[in-house]
Amino acid sequence: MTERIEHRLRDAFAAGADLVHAETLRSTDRVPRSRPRLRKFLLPAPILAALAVVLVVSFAALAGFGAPPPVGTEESGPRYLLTAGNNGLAIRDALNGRITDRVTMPPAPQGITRGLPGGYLLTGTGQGTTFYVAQSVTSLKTMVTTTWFYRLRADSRGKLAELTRDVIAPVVGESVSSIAITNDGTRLAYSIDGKVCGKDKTLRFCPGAQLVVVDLPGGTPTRTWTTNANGNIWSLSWAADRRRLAFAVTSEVRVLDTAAPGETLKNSHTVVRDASTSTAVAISPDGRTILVGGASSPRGGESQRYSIGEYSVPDGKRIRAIFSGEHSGNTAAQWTLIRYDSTGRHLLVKGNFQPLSRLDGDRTTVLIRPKTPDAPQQELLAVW
Amino acid sequence: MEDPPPEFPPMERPPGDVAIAELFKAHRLGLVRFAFLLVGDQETAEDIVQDAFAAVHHRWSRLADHDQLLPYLRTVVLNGCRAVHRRRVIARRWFGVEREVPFWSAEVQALLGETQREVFAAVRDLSRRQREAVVLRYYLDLSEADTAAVMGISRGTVKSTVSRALRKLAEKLEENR
Repeated sequence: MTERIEHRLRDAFAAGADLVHAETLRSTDRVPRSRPRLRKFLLPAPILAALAVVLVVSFAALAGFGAPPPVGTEESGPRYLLTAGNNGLAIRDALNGRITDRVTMPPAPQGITRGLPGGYLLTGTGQGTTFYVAQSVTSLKTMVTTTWFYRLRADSRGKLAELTRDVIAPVVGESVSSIAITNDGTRLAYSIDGKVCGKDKTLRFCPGAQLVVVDLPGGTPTRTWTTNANGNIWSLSWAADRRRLAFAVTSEVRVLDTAAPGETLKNSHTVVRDASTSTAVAISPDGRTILVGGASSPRGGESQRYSIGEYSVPDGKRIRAIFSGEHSGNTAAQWTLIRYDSTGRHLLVKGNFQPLSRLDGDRTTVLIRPKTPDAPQQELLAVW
Repeated sequence: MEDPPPEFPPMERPPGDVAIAELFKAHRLGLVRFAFLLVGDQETAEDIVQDAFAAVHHRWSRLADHDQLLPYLRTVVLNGCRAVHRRRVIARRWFGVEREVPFWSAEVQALLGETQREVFAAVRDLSRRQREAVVLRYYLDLSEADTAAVMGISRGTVKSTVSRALRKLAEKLEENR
């Protein structure tokens, strides 16, 4: 028996090690060298340390901000993000929004796509290297919608390193509204629209939207839930425990324990009851709080206040506003995406009035600006 | 006309640089693969190996035996992998992120056969020391003595650690049959 185990170990380790190919190693034209050593000073260490603190604080105060952390560290957040816009999919530097690579997707059949050109939905593991894309196309002949699922991976230079299609079997029937992948890439959730009822003025979603979770690799649906709510399920996001799944349906923000028994979403826990429709939500990796985008119009005013509120998941209490601003104009302010990275320290946000931006603590960095201040916001999806 | 200035002979590279360059060319891939099996992602494994070579370069003049650099490198790489695991444990504990860090990402697992995935899942459940010992013994095919040298433990401890690991793996893998 020991021999059999030893043989299996050797076989598995060899196969695992072979996944690292010489050509995928980072190119180096020089052997790594040690960093230069600092000269020893004569001052004792505690005084040196105190001086160092004074110098750093003084510089930070003069400069008004700290130096940016090295790219790719946990402090700087994910390295890259994937965007889908009018010009297709692109991998971008997560610090400045610059395109590092354009992604050419396999051609999809002709048909009607919802939302962005291409009918894309995006999700990422929150680490800036692995992304999943769903593409829904409704056939003009049969009016049946098919959704294909792809996995994309960016290498350390932000170039497309992998594009795998059919990571799960295509979904045929109704459109997929939202997708979310766990931080470790092992579970994919997606929501399917309910059927559309009525026509003209009575056109609406009827009960029957579904939420599906599949385990990867493999892709066989693990669990499915339905809802009687008249609306679709959107803005899916996972907590890091791979168990709690947050989403929005009608005007409610809910969290579902995907390990609990039940086949309907009535078992999900409602965190916020009166969220504005079509807003964006995101559960924190630790699952304790949830961000909900909101907007309000003070009476008599022309401007709208928009904010991202943080709510406690267990009791739904609003903890604080982590972002707020004002918008004047006739268009209703609306958040289109709010996404945590895998550490929960960095946020990606966008609204129809807020260009794609990242929030790192108190710092907000706009990643993609409109061409002119008055130009309308480009319709854009982004994940990291 | 003045005589042209004398040509100086080309500077010889320090012997340490030459030896390390040879080692780097010959063993970098193998060491990255070794680290990959312990930490589960290639980028981290490459960082660990880069740091290991930089450390050897830094300590070159103090190393006693320049012919035994490969075992020394393996030890440095192993220590680097241990540091990564410690950081992951701290991140889980202090930042309240309750998640299993997979031994492998889902996409890597997808490239392995089912029986191989079973083995990795079982190896993931071993203790850190047991995992290191089986990788050194059954991937690098090191002897008990060489494994002990890399891990910094006695030969007897390697023997008992591997034996316990195999027993645990057998229980796990046999029950899946």
